[in-house]
Amino acid sequence: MNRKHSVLSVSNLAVGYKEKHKPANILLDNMKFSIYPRDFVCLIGSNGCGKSTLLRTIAGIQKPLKGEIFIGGKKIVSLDRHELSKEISIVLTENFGIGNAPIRSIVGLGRYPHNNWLGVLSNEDIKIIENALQVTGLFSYENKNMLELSDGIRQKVMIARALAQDTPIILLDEPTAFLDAPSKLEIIHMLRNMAKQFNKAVILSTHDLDLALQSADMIMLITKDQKIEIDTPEDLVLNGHFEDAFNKEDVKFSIQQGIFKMNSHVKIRLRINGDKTRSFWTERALARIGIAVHHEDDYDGAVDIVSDIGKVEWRLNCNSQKKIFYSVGELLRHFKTHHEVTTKKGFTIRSL
Amino acid sequence: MSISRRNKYIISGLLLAFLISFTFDILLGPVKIPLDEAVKILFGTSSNSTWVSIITEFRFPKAITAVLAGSSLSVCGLLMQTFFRNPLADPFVLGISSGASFGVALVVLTAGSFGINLYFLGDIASNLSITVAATIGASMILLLVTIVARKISSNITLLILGLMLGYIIGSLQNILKYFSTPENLQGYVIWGMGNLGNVVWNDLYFLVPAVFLGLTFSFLLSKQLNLLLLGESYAESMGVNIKTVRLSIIITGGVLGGVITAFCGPIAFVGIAVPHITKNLLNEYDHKILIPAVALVGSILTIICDIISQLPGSDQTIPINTVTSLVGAPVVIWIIFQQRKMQHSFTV
Repeated sequence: MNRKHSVLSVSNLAVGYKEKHKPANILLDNMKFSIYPRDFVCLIGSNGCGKSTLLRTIAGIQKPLKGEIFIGGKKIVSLDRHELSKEISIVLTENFGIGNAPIRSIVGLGRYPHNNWLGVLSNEDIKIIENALQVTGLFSYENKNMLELSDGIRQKVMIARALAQDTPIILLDEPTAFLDAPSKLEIIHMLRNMAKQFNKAVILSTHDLDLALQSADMIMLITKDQKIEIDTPEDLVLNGHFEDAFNKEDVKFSIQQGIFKMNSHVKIRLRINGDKTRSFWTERALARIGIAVHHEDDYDGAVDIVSDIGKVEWRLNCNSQKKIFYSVGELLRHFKTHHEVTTKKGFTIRSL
Repeated sequence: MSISRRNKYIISGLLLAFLISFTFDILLGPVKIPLDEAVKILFGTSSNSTWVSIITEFRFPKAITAVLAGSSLSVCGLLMQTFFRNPLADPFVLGISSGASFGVALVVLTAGSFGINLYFLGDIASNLSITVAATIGASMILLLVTIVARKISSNITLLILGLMLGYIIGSLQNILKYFSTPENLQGYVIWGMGNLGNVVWNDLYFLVPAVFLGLTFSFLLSKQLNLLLLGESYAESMGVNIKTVRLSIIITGGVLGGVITAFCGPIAFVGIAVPHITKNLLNEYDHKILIPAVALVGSILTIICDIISQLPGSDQTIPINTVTSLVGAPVVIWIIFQQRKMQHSFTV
């Protein structure tokens, strides 16, 4: 892998909006980073922090306020629209389909920067289009109309079109928005494979932080003070940047588990014994109603999950009181009602 | 170029319909001319000089004008609909036709104050001055819109601007109408009803090349127009220079719409209805195919409207603009009822 030559690098870049007779509204300033072929990069940051603006600026749709962008070693300002269209392809949130065009034709539009003034497809173009349809799993839909397809597949059509455009860089603005969880995973997985298989630098903005943490080679993180941190996901988590960028009053990033959690107040501490899967889901359910699971010695009670042939029991053991439940739901209901009673009577939690 | 088998049949059928309607347009009219005589006239072997001049001096140029007007206005409508991503856009949206009307209004309506009634001069001189006035009016507005388009980045703003320009010009015309003499007003109203028959052979020497150039330019833009279907940002990312293309579309559309309005008066609904009819007929998005097909369908529709306006079997005629409105407006209503489908030819 050649890491010497970046496909995209920026120095001293500032992006934002400039209106006449007004000072420029700078969203992001003093950025400096380089992206290499095969990099799968996720751009994350809270709403309105300038993710789309940064992508649009890199794509050349918007002018930078200051600084330089180099595409394949050349300054972006020295490239005209046509040259740039061979370097960068984009996928936007606005996914316009065309009513009377089969998706094969829409993917075929991606070949336009490469073919003649009439847009006639050569045999090689057709090969590339078919490959793009194959990679994105759209072959069986090729004659369908965009209107007949789900959001996830429409998104794939636009990605296939970008792939057919055959550029070293693919930029995607929130490609996973509006999709259900499996489709999100599928799209991310597909994009990552595209980066590795076809030597492309793929940069996407997303709000799906855990997906980004799991899949990205690099994360571009826009911090609260409008700086950009670019690093491997794990380093961003370990050095605390990730937490800083997203922590809110009620939501905290759990550095141990790598997920965001509702910041509810701990009322009872329990210990759970049992098989891994059931313990995990029981723990999640308890966390939701404010019961923390402790693995240390200091706890208020214990839940033993015991499974016999075809039968699972949740045995609650709290202050020499024993109760048996047959589902997580029953266990939760017990705590909910019991907790209300205890607080009404003014009992302390330990007397549960 | 890939045309599906189904569309090949449809286009062949349209070509046939074109030939048949063109023939009927020449044969039918207030004066009955038998078919065999018409064929003789075509080969220059007829002895009836009245019929010869009716066909060669009047009906033939009128039929050709119908073809030119139909194809120009329809292709102009298609350009505007794709460019503005708006299914109700037509040659009038940029205010170019209004500009032509204003030029004519200025000439016809103020003519009385110089002691002459231009329209009722009834000769080539008055036609010429009307055409010149309309061309100047259309060009002025075209120039204005072009200048503004270079400063405005949003197509919606441009669309609204064009419509507002149309309203302003409309009220200026009303003022002119209010102060003009009844005779001049009548002349202007008649112009406003459209007339394909005003065009004489000499006009065609200008009209044919102008329309041919406009249609050729439109065809040259077909690749960019296809990309614009995905929206401006996508089009830009695939190498379309939006500024250049925008200017090319405005000028091409302006020439197509303006020239026809100048020579034939305003002809409503062809520009808005034909692109929709064609898209529905062919189920096609590609402008390489759409532009010639729209020109063909537009020609057929306008010829048929012209035949209807001759009221075959009677010696009366009704103005072309009323016929195109009567045929076109129901199409637009049908489009509105199919709102979903209409939107879908642009966006999801």
